[in-house]
Amino acid sequence: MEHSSISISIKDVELGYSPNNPLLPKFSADAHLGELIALVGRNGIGKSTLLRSVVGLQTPLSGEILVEGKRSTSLVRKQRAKALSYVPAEPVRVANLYIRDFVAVGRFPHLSWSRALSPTDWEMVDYALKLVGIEHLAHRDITTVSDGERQRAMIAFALAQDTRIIILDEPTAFLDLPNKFEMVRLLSHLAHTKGKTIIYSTHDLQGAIHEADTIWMMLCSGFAAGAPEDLALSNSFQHLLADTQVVFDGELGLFRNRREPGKSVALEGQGSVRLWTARMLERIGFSTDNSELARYKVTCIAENSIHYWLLTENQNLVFKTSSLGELAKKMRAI
Amino acid sequence: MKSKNLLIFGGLVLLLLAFFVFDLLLGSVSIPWGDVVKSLIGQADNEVWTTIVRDFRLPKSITAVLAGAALSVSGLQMQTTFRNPLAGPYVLGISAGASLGVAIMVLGITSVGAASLSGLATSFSLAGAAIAGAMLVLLVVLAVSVRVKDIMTILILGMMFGSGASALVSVLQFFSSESMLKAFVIWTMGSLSSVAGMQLQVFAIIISVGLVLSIISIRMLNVMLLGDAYAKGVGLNLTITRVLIFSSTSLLAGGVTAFCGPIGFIGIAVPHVARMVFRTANHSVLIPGVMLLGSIAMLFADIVSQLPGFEVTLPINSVTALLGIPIVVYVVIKNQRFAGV
Repeated sequence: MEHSSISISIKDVELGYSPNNPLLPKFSADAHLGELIALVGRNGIGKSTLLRSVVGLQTPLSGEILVEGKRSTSLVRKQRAKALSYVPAEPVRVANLYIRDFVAVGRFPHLSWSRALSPTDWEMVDYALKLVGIEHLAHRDITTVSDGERQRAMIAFALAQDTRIIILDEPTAFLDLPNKFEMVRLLSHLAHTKGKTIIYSTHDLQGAIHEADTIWMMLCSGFAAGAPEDLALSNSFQHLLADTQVVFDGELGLFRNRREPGKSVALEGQGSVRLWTARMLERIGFSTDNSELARYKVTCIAENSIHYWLLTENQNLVFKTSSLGELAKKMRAI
Repeated sequence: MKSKNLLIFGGLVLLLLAFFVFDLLLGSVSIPWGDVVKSLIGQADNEVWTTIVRDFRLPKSITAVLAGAALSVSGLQMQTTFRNPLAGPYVLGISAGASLGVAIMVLGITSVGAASLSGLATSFSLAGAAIAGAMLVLLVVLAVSVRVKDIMTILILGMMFGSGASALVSVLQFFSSESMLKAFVIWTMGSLSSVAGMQLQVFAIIISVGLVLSIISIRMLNVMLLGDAYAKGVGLNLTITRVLIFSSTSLLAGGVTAFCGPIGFIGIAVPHVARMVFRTANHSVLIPGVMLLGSIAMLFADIVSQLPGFEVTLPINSVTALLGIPIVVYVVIKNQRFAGV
């Protein structure tokens, strides 16, 4: 039972372009039916290479990749196209191409010389458009819709292809913030309600931590996989950030720039006002220190939904403001 | 939307018939249209008119219809395959190969005195030489495309073969006599009127096979349009597809070049007109669309080339260029997104 739920099995795979110089050490991983997997890693680590190897467009240096128990490279083209669909990173930009016609091309593996698109095929096309929420754009030229809508059309293409596995190369790359979140939520919805196994590569760790069931991390030192929360608790995301000025804040679940501790200042206040004041102080290079020794002290006051801040030096008031921006300017001058 | 397309197709068929009849009416001898129709069905009293209409004008109009459809379909196939709006029937070097064949025939063999250029025999051997040249280039391109995966590499190699063939043609021109040179230059100007009788039958068969192959390739063209990544993703066999499309294009472009000379611009311009008329990228509409529009464009070019008032007919190649260039310029300027690719 356990075995049959494995959609993709990566066994002792080495990726790269020269046998003497693999991109990362040998690794193995399994993708299960109905699982949403985010593939993360720095630029050039081989995320696209891994996805292309899973799709069978490329052969790994060593090891093998099984798609539903069969070796990916041994599958006949059409068999493979019925088992998994691939959404490339490059957006489709063909003038005069209607979205419905574009999505209909996804039915190609199910057609033959003697079988053209039937009404049932068109029903599947329209259903795919509906699942991604762009049925109203069916008769729009694909070059005239927004990047988010185009990305949805590309996912509808994969849904029309009607495969159990969907592989997407950076589906959130060209999207704005709300679209990034909606895209990942759509993928999660498709994985969990339609039983699709979805693997997508991304640089949007925040979204991946939010929605993915499993994160696959590709690192120079090796491969790591796990639920996002497990990886956060074991501080694994730090490996992704090695040699950079970015750190993962395990408490807030946020990525941010590493800051050198600077002058210290005492901070008094509560709730979100205190939180955002602390963020501002950190941004301009202060570390908060609540001992009585600090020369400067910031007091946050929130009353009747009006905020203001007092800056004291050796307990003498030196500045009063209702804007953190103003406070930042004043304190930079200290 | 489908009914709108049917309406356009109906209109184009009527336009094609009108141009066809009008084309039959034109010529150095003026024949009333009633007698043209009578001559066609063999009921005319005037023997000369019957001969003119049935042996000269009708074959020429049929040639125009076939050549226009052939060039436009192969142009569309190349634009889709190479995903390049400025690709045309000749990007694979097919016309250059045909020219080389003809040049060797006209300038090479005849200049050493092995044959004379006059007489009907030569026009068939010209076609044979052109087909041999086009086939040679096709074989090289096919051999390359089976081994080379990247479509841009194939495009560049095709252009290089074409340039190489053209260079050889120049060398032959340099060493040939003035009369031979003139015969070759006249061939390069194109002509719809040298195809008749047996030749027309051979021409029609070649073009029909090419068009049937293009209809078979419709679904593959719709996939190719999206690029290699999608093509592989849906399990399209790129090698088979390219062999099919390149064979179709070679028959179409090679056939036209062989029998009518290298007629330019119809193949590049008509697919763009079809996209503007039908507002779609779907080849199940575009392929029949460019066939009709290509035939109409070629008949129109032929009509323009012999407009009443001109003593002589203009070279067809100049007319198609003058008609096609504004369209290509318009497309390039309008579709800046293409120019940016």
